[in-house]
Amino acid sequence: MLGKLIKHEFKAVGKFLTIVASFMVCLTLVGAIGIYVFTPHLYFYLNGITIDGTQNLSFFAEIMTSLYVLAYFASAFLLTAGTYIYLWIRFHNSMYGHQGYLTNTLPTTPAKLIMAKMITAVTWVSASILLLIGSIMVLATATANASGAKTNNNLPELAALLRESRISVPWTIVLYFSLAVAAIIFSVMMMYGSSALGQLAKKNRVFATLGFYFAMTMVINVVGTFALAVNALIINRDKFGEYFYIFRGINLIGFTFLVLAVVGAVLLYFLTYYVTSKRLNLE
Amino acid sequence: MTNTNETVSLVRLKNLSKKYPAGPMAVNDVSLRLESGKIIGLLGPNGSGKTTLIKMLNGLLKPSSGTILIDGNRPGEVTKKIVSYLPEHTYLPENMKVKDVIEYFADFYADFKTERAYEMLSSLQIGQNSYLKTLSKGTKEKVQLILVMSRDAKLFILDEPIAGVDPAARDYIIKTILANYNENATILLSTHIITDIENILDEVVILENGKAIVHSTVEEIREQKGKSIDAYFREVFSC
Repeated sequence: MLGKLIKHEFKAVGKFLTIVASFMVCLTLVGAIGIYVFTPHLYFYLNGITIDGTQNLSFFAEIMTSLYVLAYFASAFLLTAGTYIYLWIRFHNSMYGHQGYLTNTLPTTPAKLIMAKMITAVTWVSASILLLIGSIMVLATATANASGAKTNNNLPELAALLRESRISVPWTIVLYFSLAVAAIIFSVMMMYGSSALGQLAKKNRVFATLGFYFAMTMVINVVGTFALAVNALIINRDKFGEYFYIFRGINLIGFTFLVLAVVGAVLLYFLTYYVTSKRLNLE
Repeated sequence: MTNTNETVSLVRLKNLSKKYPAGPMAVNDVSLRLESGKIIGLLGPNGSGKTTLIKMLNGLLKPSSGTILIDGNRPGEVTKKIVSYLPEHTYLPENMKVKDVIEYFADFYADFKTERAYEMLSSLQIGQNSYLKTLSKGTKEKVQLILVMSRDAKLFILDEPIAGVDPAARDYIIKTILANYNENATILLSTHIITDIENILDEVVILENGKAIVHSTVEEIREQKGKSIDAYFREVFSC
């Protein structure tokens, strides 16, 4: 049943999100090609000289560059925040809106319903973030190649520094990969938890949902600041300044936030589960 | 909860109550047994607790107290496999095509009869490639009824299926219900429009202010009161 729920969830959200992702891919390709075409002119443009002695090319380049940058930022916003908001609205409507009558009478459990939506949302949010990172890397590489700038790969140097500081490189990679996944799951569960609480309101459920979301954000900020302060105290007790302690400190902070994200996601999952199974209040 | 040795009614409600926060008792100490193979009218004026009772039967609301057993089980995953529910308003995703909704139901409900659904769609000339958002409210309601009645469920719960539709559509809905339900199944049908459905009912349950004031066969009411269900209902709830 979980497999069927995931299949239909992907089908329901796939169309819109594929369009958004495809738009970003197209913009990246256009941008990369544009960089190769325009970069040779950039020197002249920046110095107020156009390649053919007129102002037309500079003006054209300026307009095109401005439009592209605007479109790129809008697309990046749509890809990340837009995906997040779309999945949030989808969850809210399909669980607690009119469509909830269909979802909540399916022959399955609330646990499987929440899990299916969470897996779908985490997959899409992760894919969106990876796509944005990939897009930025493509554009950066294109810029570097077109302008003839030398690029350095500092990763081996960083790995050597970590080894020198007696910090396991694989462990560090696992730590930050886990942190990224846990943070995405936590952010998805935050929207689910706030929707679950928001549907308890008699009126203005959207405002109630947003209110709970901002309240949760404040709690997270307080807990996060407290965790950072505790970490800072621990790090300061050591010989802060040497690479070993810097890396250990950073990893300690990473580990602390991993624990917080996992605990937070689990708590929010049980909150959503409890409200959906015991306090469902459909419109 | 499993079946016990005592005679198992398809639906058994015991001292069932539901109170909304800061509101009156929507359902108040209702005890009922509904048997298989009956068409039962759940009657009552607006606000009498019909929809609240139906939502509790479907696991969409938790009772404040009392128990619900459907085929010996509390509302949940098991009962949802045997209950086919039609809510009082449209609930299908607007961006889906009719054929996608049919595929959705066929995927989730083992008792869903795809061919039956397409036959009914065809008889109503509803295109399977139509998007739901392009259909009128009445046609969407018909699609929902087709989906619900295309299941071989043990219990059909229909919440106000004939409210807000024209007389021709009412006839079609009643015809569809009668033509597609298994005689061993039970239909619990809530309405406050009694005239059109009176002839198909075996039993009636009348709710008033959340209490079940009558649970009787249609014949008994006609014999004892000497009037139709509609006339009796009007007498009970006359202002």
